[in-house]
Amino acid sequence: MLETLRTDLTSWEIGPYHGALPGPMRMKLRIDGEIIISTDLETGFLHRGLEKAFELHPWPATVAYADHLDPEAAFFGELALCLAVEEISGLDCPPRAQAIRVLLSELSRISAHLGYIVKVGRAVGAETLIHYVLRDREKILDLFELLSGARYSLNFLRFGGVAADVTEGFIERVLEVAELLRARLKEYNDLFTFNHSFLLRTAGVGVITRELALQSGLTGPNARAAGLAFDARKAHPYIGFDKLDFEVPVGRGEAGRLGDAHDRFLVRLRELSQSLEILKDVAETVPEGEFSRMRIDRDFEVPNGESYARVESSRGLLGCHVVSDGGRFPARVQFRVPTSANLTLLPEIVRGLAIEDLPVVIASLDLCLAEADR
Amino acid sequence: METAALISKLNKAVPGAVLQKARFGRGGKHAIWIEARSIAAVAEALSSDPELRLDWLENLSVAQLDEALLLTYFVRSRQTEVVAVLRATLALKSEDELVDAPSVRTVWPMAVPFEREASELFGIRFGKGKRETGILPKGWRGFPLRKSYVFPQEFFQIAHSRPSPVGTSDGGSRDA
Repeated sequence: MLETLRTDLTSWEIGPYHGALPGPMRMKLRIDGEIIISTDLETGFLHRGLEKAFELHPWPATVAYADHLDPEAAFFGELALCLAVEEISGLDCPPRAQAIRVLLSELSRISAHLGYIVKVGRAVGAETLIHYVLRDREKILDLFELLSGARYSLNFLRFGGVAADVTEGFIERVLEVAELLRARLKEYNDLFTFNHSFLLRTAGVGVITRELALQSGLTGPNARAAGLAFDARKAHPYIGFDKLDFEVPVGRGEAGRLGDAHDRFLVRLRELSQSLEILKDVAETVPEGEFSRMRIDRDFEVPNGESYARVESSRGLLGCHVVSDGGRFPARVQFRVPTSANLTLLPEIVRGLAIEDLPVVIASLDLCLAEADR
Repeated sequence: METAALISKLNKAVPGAVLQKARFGRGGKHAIWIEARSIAAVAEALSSDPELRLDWLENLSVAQLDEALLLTYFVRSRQTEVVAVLRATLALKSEDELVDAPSVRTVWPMAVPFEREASELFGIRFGKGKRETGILPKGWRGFPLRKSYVFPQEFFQIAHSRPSPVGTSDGGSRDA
């Protein structure tokens, strides 16, 4: 007599706190056997009233708040805010400060992408890789500490420049770390990218089609993995990216399908390689000169006006709309964050997925609940 | 594409929708002010025009200026590289009354998270739907991003504002 497994429809709730989730959020799943039928997402657990907080603090204090938008890549929030405020104020940034900003931007991208590899490694159970990558990311955090005294929330940008000049030996160490990581990237690639068990977990899993990416307004590496080549560093160049020679990697569906979890991983590996090239080019040619146009004191006022700045964060297009009424406090600071689009399409891409693949797909999307809830 | 050409197209597609052209920021960019009730029709016209194909709502930002909410739509095309900024205002009737605006999510599906946030934090009812929730705890009163918002002292008997242990600051932050 044949025995069959009875697979009734069941409901699962995961979260708000769970190891497979990128932060506090609740997933209400309807499951048929092991297949996810539908998902409802509940977010907002990490809402801190961040945009309101900007309105309650003087302009110079807002930089530290921008740090808290995305704790894993704090620099991009600072940069978007500073670019917007500088445009309203008509402040230009000295070439040396621009170069330091590019270095920090790419170091942050590398740090965030290494963090991404760790998340994906954890989801597929690749413990060895996690230790290798964390060891290497420490070197980037050491560089942040050497420059700003902080390892995560740098609070290092100022309107019209940066808070301080680079510390002694910083540029040399950036070059050393870039050289080391170049060798390590090859190691990660050899060890992991086309490893049989990694392919089984990621190839053809959690596919984001080009149409879905377009429909949801997806940006960043996830959209590029789906074949959309948009990168704000190319489309709206800032801090001198137009003078730099780099490529924007896009997904090719090499191991499974275009836009799958494997493509998202590969695109980030290739972006790491591009960021290392940018680091090397910029670190070798940091111009001499001042690091800030003016000292920003607590009475700093931004003229009446508004602006919208775009930067390419490690997760995608980060926009910052700043409105000033001419006083010491912002009238409005609004962020357009890349994670929102990812959350919109999450229920769509997990439909039909086996429950065992859910942690891998969530990790492969690189969600940041801190910026989505803010 | 020049803003003037964009306006001319809009005037043909949705007569009376465009109110004016105004500068946006310092860089020579412009925003097109449109009538709030025509937002959805304007979105449809911009999205379906073969030369424009403005198919991507990059951002929707809401700000309060005096007694009105200012909606700013940052729109672009994935195909033609055209970028546009649209503006509309919604008059606020009272501090705690919802205001209505047409939804653009049928034209630009990526508008969903933007409209949801604005709905909850500014008290805007987009389309025929209800005010959406998801960010604030259930039962939270008021619209936190409106200027008139008064921070509550407690929520379900949990106090979340208390006197500063070091006395009042000397102007370091604006009174909440």
